[in-house]
Amino acid sequence: MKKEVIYQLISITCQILFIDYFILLTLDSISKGFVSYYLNMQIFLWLLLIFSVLFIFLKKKTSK
Amino acid sequence: MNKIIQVYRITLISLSIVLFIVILWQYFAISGTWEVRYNFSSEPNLITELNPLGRVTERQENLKTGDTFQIMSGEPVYFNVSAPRSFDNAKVSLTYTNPSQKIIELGLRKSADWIFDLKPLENKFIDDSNWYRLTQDNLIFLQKQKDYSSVDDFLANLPKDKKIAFYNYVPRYNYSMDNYLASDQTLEIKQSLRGRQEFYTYLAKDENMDFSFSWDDSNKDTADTLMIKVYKSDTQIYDDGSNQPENKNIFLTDLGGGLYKIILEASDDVVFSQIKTRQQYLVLKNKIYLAGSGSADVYTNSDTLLFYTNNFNALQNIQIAGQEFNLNKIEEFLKWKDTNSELGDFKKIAVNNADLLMQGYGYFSFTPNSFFDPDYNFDTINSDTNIELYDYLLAGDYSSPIQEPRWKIASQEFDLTGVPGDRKDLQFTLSAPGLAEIKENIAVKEIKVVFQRPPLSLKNIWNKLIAKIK
Repeated sequence: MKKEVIYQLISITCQILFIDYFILLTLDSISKGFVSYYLNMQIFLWLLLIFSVLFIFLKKKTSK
Repeated sequence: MNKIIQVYRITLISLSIVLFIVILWQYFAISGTWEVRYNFSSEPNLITELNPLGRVTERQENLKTGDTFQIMSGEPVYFNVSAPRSFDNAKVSLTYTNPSQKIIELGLRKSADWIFDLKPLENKFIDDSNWYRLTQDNLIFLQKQKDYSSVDDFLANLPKDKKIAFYNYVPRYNYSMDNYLASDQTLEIKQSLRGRQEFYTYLAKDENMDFSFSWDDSNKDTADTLMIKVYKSDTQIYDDGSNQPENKNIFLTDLGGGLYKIILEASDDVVFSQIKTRQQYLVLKNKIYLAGSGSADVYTNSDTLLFYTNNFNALQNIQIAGQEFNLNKIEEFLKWKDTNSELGDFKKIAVNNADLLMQGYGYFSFTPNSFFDPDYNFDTINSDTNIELYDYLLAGDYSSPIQEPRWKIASQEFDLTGVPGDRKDLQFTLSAPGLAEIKENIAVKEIKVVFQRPPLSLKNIWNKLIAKIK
C-alpha cells in the first residue's frame, strides 16, 4: 500500500518535471538564455534523472 | 490514498504554473522594470565577461574572501547586455576597485560605428580635491581660491585670463579677438594632410571667408569623396552640397565676425596637398595627420601628444619644444608628455619624415603666426591633467562613487533612444585613459543593469494594438 503511494507520487513528479523541463528548455532557446539566467537547468536535469531512476526502480519493485 | 495523490498532483501543477508566470512576468517586464546582474562567478549569460583578453584577465577568485572579478589592465574594454525586450533607459552600476586611475567612464554604443556615448563613473580630480566646493543643480564647482559665491556668478562671466578645467560640461561663450584686423596676405599650407580635418579660423566683421583645397585620392581602387561644412557656434551655416572628387574653393561673404569651424569630411585615403586661405588664423583641433614625406614644422599648445605611424620610414627622433622624442614603433600610439613648461605653452614640433598622426588636447598650426587658441585657457580635463595648474574646475552630471569597505559602486543612466536595432542587444565600454601606464589595475566585481519602460497595462496593450492597426 505504502510502496504504491510512493510509486504514484514519484510517477507524478517525473511527469511534471519532464513536461516542465522541456517547456523551459524550449523557452530558453527561444529567449537566448533568458530562462537559464533565472533557473539552473543542469540542476533541473539532475532532478529529472534522479526521479526517473527512482521511478524505474519502484516500477520494477511494484511489478514483482 | 487517492486524495493524497490528487492533492500532490494539484500542488505540483500549481507550482509549475507559478514558475512559468514568474518567468513570463520577468520576460515581458510587466512591471516596467527588469534587472540583470553578473558577478563573474559563473559562465556569463545575459551579461558577457569583459573583453578583449589582454586588456582584461580571465575571471578570477579571491580564495580568502570568495570575491570573483576580472582585472582590467588596458582600455577600452567592452561588455554586452542582452535584454528580453526593448527598454527606454538603462541604469548601469559597477562594483569595482580603483586605487589610482584618475578618470573612469562608461559608454553605450549608440551607432553602427564604434562611437560610444561616454558618461563619468569616477573622477579622482573631483573626489580627492580639497578646493572650495560649490554644488548647484547637477554642477560641481571647485575653486583653488574662493573667488565666487555661486556657480551662476562664475558662469555669467567666465574669467578668460584664468585657467579653467571642465569635465563633462561644455561651456557656452563667444570667442572674440580684441583688436583683430583682416589681413591681405595669403596663408599657404603646402604640407600634405590626410583624412578628416577640423579647422578653426577667425573672421573680422566685414571679412570674407576664402579657402581653396587641393586634394588627391591615394587609393584609386575605391572612390573617395570630400564634403565641406562650415559652422558658427555649432550651427551649420554652409554645406558645399557636393561630394565630387575635385579641388574645392569656399568664398563666403557677409558672415559677420567671429569664430568659425570648417570640417572637411573625408576618409584617410584622401590627401590634401595644398590649402590656401586669406584668413590670418587657422588651427586644427586635437589631431593632425601629416601625409607624404619630408620634414615639417607644426606648432601646438597641447601638453600631451600621441604619435602614431604605420610607415617604417616615419620612425624617427622628433624635436618637441627642444626635447627629443623617439618614435620607434609602428602601429602603436606613443605618448609624449610635457614636464618642463607651463600649462598650455606654445611649442614647436619638428618632424623629419612626415606620414604620422599626432593627437593632443589642444590646437595645431603650421606657422607660429597663424596659431590661436579658440578655447582661451579653458580645457577639458583628462587623465594626464595636472589639476594644480588650474584655478577652477567645473563638472556637470557627476556623482562620486559609493565607497564600501572593499569595493566602490558607481552608476550611470543611459537613454536608449537612438540605439541601433531592436535595442535588445546593448554594447557598453569601460574607458580609463592612461590605465596601461599605471601599475595598479581596476578590478570589476559586478555589473548590474536595471532597465526601465512603461509598465505593461491593459491600457498600454490596447493603445499599441490601435497604433498597429492604424
